[in-house]
Amino acid sequence: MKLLTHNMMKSHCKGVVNGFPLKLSSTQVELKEVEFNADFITRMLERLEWGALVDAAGQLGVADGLPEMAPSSGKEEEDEEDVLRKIHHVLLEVEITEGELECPETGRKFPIKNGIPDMRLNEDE
Amino acid sequence: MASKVNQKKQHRNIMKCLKHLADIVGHTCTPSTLPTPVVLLGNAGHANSIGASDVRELVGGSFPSSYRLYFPPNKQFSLLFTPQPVPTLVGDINLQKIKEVTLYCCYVTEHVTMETVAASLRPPGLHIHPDVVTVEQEQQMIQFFLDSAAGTTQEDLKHRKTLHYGYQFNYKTNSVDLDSPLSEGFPECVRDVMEGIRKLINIDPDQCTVNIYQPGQGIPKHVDTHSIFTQEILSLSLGSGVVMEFRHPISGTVVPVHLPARSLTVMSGESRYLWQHGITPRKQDVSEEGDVISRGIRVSLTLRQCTTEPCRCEYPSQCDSQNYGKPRFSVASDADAAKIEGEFVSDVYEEIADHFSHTRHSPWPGVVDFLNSLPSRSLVLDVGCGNGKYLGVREDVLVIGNDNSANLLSICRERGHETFACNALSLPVRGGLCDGGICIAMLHHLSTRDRRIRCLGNLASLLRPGGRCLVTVWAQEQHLDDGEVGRREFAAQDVFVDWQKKQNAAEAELFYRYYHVFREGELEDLVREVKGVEVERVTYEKANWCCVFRRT
Repeated sequence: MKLLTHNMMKSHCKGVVNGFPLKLSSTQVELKEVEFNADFITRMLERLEWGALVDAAGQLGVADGLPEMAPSSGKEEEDEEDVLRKIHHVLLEVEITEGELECPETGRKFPIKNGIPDMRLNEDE
Repeated sequence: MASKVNQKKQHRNIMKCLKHLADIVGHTCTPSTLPTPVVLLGNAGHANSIGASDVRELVGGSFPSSYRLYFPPNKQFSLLFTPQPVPTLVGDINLQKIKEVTLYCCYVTEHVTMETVAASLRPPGLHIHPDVVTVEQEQQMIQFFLDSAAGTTQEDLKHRKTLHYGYQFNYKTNSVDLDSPLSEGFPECVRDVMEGIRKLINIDPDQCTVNIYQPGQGIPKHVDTHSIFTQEILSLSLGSGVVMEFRHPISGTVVPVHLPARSLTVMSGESRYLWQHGITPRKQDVSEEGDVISRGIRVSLTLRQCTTEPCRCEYPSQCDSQNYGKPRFSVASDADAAKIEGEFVSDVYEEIADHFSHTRHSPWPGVVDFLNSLPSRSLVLDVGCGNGKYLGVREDVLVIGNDNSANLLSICRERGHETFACNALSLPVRGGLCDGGICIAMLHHLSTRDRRIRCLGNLASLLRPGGRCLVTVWAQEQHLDDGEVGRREFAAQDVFVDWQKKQNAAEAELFYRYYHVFREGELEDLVREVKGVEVERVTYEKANWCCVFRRT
């Protein structure tokens, strides 16, 4: 599971008011090389919940170099590409292969196995 | 050196053939160094395109009429049965070539006869009684029926003429109307035959169908309706023998069986209730002995006993009384719906994942076109992504997949794709993040209108304003777009479609998947129930309704 995916996901347990973000714990993390494209990262910036991304990255020890606030597009910065590359790395190249997601309200745990988070609920949930 | 290699090859080939033979006769078969009356001819089988005349030519001299050849269907060997062991036979033909193929021959130790091999291959419950009528009776009956049929009109010269006694057989319903017996009873010649075969049969026939087959005519493979005809089906062949083919409906195995003239064929048990039988429309047959025989005019007398009792056989997949083994669709609540979708969608896909994935490898042009119409660097969700065949279509678009089947998602993972598992009725995703969405051949697995609308609503929520989604579902009407005459339709909108998972060559397991197939206009009606989206276009492609909608 990539951190981009984690940032998109929220809990869908019954009765949950705000299921975002899902608490993240990992027992196995892999790095996977993905081709960098500045346009894609720029397009994604406004869709991300930045605080949750920084927290999750921090948990995995990959937050170094991530700005505290989301970079705003249109601003020309000298090291803009470096920042985008860093964000690209965090969003797409870090994969949690074994771990767990937890609903922040109900505590219901969703396993991550073989890189795939299992969000399936039972009938009564 | 060369002969050592040949010896190894020969040994391997012979042992393989003997293994197949053992499977047929049900006991081990071993090569014999001493001559026996049974000779195995490896590589001289039907599957090698070799026939009886080829073998006879090789054996040469004057091939004695007491020698009998047998070609098991679709196998790479044949068997030669001699009345006494012939010590020179194997030495003469071993390592000889027929049509560029080298024969590997040996004597078989075990006492295998042609009759036991042929009988072992036949579907269980099939019995053939030879010579149950005399030649005079045969001639008389042929004349009688040809005369009776001469008066009747025939719509299509391609089809055989038929006559009915006792009850009229209705080919549209494949049944009879027990409330309308025919006034004519059985003709005297038929009653005489029944008297003669009384000891061979277990039924008291009250329905008789006579078929007159000209050479080149046949009858498509079918199982006689279970509910209306009880126990055995009897068939008397007059005028000419024929090779009838029996097909196992699940494994697909086809066994040809020769029905000689004047023989009575009794189909009972599996051969009546499970295996299909039919006659291929052609003018010649290949006998079990491997000879080509031309067909003459054949008159068949089918005798059956009617019943009002529903059928309780052990072969529900072919049984109309048992709804062909299919579940009956009934949904009274959302809980029922979830149960059906669990048992007949989710569970089935988990079981068949690998096999299913093998059959789903080519991306549809229509879906690829849609994905190509999205802006570069888009984020897309594929809801119900299956084996992930659409996840990597565009290098410049990230498509994240989700599916309810962990096994299918494993396949996506192996291919390097990003996925998560969930049920489409509840997507654990923040709204408004996606440039596009696709939902290919998934919505039709939801069993109520309400649930289908909910799913569409979930798809809509994924999209940013301006984001677009493609949904495809199976159509009730098939073949609307290829101009084919005689359109096919699913009989109802809520159907169970079978899937055969072949475990090995002999056995297959049957699964049923639930589908709600869509009428024209139905999909867009559902989309219109969803707030905040508008229909962009609706098309029919390859028996699927496709709808693109946009978030406004």
